[in-house]
Amino acid sequence: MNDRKLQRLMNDQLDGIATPAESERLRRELASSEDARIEYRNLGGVFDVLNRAEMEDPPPDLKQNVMQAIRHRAVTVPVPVRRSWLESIKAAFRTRPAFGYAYSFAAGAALAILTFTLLSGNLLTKSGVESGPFTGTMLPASGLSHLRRTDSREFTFRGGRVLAEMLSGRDGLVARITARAPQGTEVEVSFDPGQLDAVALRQHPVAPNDVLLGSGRLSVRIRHIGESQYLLYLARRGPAGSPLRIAIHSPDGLVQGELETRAPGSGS
Amino acid sequence: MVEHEEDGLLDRCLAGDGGAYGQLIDRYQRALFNVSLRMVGNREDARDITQTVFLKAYENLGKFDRRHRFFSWVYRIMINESLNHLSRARRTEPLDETMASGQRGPDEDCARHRLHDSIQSALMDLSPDYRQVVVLRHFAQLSYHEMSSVLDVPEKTVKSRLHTARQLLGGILTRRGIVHS
Repeated sequence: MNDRKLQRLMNDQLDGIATPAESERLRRELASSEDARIEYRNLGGVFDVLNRAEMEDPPPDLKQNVMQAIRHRAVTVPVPVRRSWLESIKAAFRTRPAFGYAYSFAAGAALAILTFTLLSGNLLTKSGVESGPFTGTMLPASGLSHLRRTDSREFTFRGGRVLAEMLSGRDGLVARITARAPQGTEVEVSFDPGQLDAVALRQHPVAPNDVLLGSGRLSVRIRHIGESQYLLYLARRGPAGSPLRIAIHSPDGLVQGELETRAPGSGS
Repeated sequence: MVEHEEDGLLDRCLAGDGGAYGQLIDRYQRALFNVSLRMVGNREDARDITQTVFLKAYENLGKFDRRHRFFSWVYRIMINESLNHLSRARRTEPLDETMASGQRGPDEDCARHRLHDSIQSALMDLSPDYRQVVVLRHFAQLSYHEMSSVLDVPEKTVKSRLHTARQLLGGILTRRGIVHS
């Protein structure tokens, strides 16, 4: 019997799906070959270890979270489908030719704003439009190991927790926001755009939260169950460091606080 | 009997009875959570993935082909979500452990904990393709036929993949002194 057939027999026997004839054939093979006995013992060891592994209980709030999310989504107004939006524009074109010129102008302006936004490092995102981790020239290539934590605030409220940390280095700052919050909670980070530039934003995991990054403001509306983390890369425009303001609008109400942005060792 | 009950629950879900979906969650949450846990190796991520899977299944219930078994479909979503998570995790910055809450209590039996960790770390050393067959067979207790339906590959492929996976796992466990040759 070749190795492949023997291996299949051994697996079937240990899996409990071998026929009596196959079991007998395996017994004969094992009786006649020391190598086969060693291989069978090793494979049996793997089965034994896997059988000893215990099933873990799921978190007690798993079902409740899913049911809550289902209820929440059931009352959400559905987003209009793209076709009807296009159709309404086409209809406007047909009935009012002047609308065509206005539309062309608006589209051109939107393109210019988008180009400016990308070039200046400000990203405007919305789930479903751009929800991936932000990469490219705007994203610093190095990790966070060269930064040290200079300030942190923890916000706890019913059903949620948000940890805001300021990581600082010589060249810049990273505000790390780690949130586990009920759906609908809004986490707003604001800063003085005269003193700080938002260079990039990275999220983990790629979650369907509504994210808006504008001049001096990052806003995240939680739609994803579970933990989400945002890394907001900031560049200083000068030595002075006005604080970063954090405001969390949860079902419990508003909680807020500030994070220092002063450069390490600046003493001011 | 189980299939018949499940059909009834699905009918009720489609008619808008949320409670019926709650019963389906009760039925599968333990198995699905364990599949995810063994695939990604982290309780918090496994919880998030399991919740996402149940939500996705609910939202797509209308598209579910009733000629197939519900559990095959939901396991398939789970495997895809877990694989997506693993490939995303490779691309993005790892989260630090500041908010991890998966640690066990101090009264947990140490030997059992060690065995659990050893098995999990050996599983994580397998490629996702091999890991998923081990997990579906040994942790979800699926038959070859069911695995073939979940993974959408022929039974023969499932079998040969599983045999190779067990062999690789045996090598890893032996090198770590968990299985003695």
